[in-house]
Amino acid sequence: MPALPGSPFYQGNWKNLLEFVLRDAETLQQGGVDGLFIENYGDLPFYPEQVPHETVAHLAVIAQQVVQTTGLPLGVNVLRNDAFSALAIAKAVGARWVRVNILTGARLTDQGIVQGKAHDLLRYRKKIGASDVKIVADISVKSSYAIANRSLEAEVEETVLRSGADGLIVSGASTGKPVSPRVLQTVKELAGSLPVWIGSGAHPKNVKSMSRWADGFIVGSSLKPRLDAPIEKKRVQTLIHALRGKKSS
Amino acid sequence: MKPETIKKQLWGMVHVGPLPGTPRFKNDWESTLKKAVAEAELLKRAGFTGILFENMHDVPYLKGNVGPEITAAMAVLGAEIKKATQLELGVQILAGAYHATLAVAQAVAADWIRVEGFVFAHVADEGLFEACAGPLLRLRTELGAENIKIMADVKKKHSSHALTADIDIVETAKAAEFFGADAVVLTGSSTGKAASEVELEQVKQAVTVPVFIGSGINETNLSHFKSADGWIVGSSLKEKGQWQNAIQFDAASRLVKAFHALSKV
Repeated sequence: MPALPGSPFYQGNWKNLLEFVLRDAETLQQGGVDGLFIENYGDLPFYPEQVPHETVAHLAVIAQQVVQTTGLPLGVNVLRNDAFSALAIAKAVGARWVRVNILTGARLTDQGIVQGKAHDLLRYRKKIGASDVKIVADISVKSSYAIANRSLEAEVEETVLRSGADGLIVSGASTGKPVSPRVLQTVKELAGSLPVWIGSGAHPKNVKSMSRWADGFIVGSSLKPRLDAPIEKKRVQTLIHALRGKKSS
Repeated sequence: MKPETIKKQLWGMVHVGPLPGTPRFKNDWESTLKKAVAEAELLKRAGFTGILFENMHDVPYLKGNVGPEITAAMAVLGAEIKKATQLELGVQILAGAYHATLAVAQAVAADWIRVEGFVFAHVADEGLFEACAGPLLRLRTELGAENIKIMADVKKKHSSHALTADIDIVETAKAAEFFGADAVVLTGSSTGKAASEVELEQVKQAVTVPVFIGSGINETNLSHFKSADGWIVGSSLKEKGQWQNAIQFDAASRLVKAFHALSKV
């Protein structure tokens, strides 16, 4: 989503922004997706943790309209790692998921060292009555680096067993970059009953092979010609066709 | 006289039920949302010209800020009320949470925010409040939200003003105007209690911005405050006159009738 009010690259026209986002949501729906994620991707440079009230308020209004317009299940991600605000918005609009880039442990990011707050987050979820909102957590999230030499196995185990994730996300090096099949397979094998989603680089050429291990795909970049361009229905249909064959497209 | 030719404002309060994460929250957010929107619709049907919605049931209030759960909930509420009524809309997030209030107002395209502790300082239930005009007006500029107007309580209800005992309400109102308030609000000692008619006259003489009465207005005393530019009414529309109860359509209609009668005098 484009830069929101209060962030440096906000273009100054809220109505246009809202229409742009709703058009994307409708295009995705017409293209046949099963659900939507909204994310304040335009708000760079991102806050490492808590975002200001204006971000929460505007995202809440957008999310509400996306839900009302499409009726699709919704997920919320508040970058870079404000899952508290994401849960707050999810509660207010009846969204199903929040995505958390760093739920547990700590990583070096372009926002500095970002630490997971699973301990506070799961208590917060209970406090605001949002226990039915699922937390999907990135494993070694894109655009970040390990600050300790730890195995993928250990990271998955901590995220699943000690941090309360309801699902896992595997991503590539950065936005739009594909996931390593080996990493995906390993995470899926360690995840037990939890669903594993692809969080970057899903593409008509790789979705079918990835679907052997992946339970879901969160897709953005490959559905548009440029990151700031509107989503194109044809691209959505092509991707879904590649995943499911002709029948469901 | 038709309502649209009346320039003065009659605003109804929507006291939103306990929000997520607050002590009295019953995990009934969806019905809280529906109820607030229904009350707003009722106020519109009765003929009110504006609506102010407020997280009144979130007692005891936090001082000066709230969590994202309140901001998100109030934003969704505001958007739904705006969509359902298209009336002039104001927001207040208690207590003194001006940043969240302005953010919500901007996101839902509200017209006003109501702010306590705009100038000077007072002791409220929540503790000591100090002037917020400086940071609030800077924030409004940063957000590009200059179109949102600020109505500032002066010598606000539920508060001790011993700290400013040597500054009367007229001076306080003048300071609020000087510091950029778009309207000032006068109240009685607490929710449902009437303001002073004498003070209203004095403040009207002293400031050029609109003066609202923000508590204690009912169908019988409205005419005593006729020199005000607007009235914000909650308690007297409720069952038994208690703010905790639901708005009664008959009471709301009677007040609107009294409001229309003012312009005939």
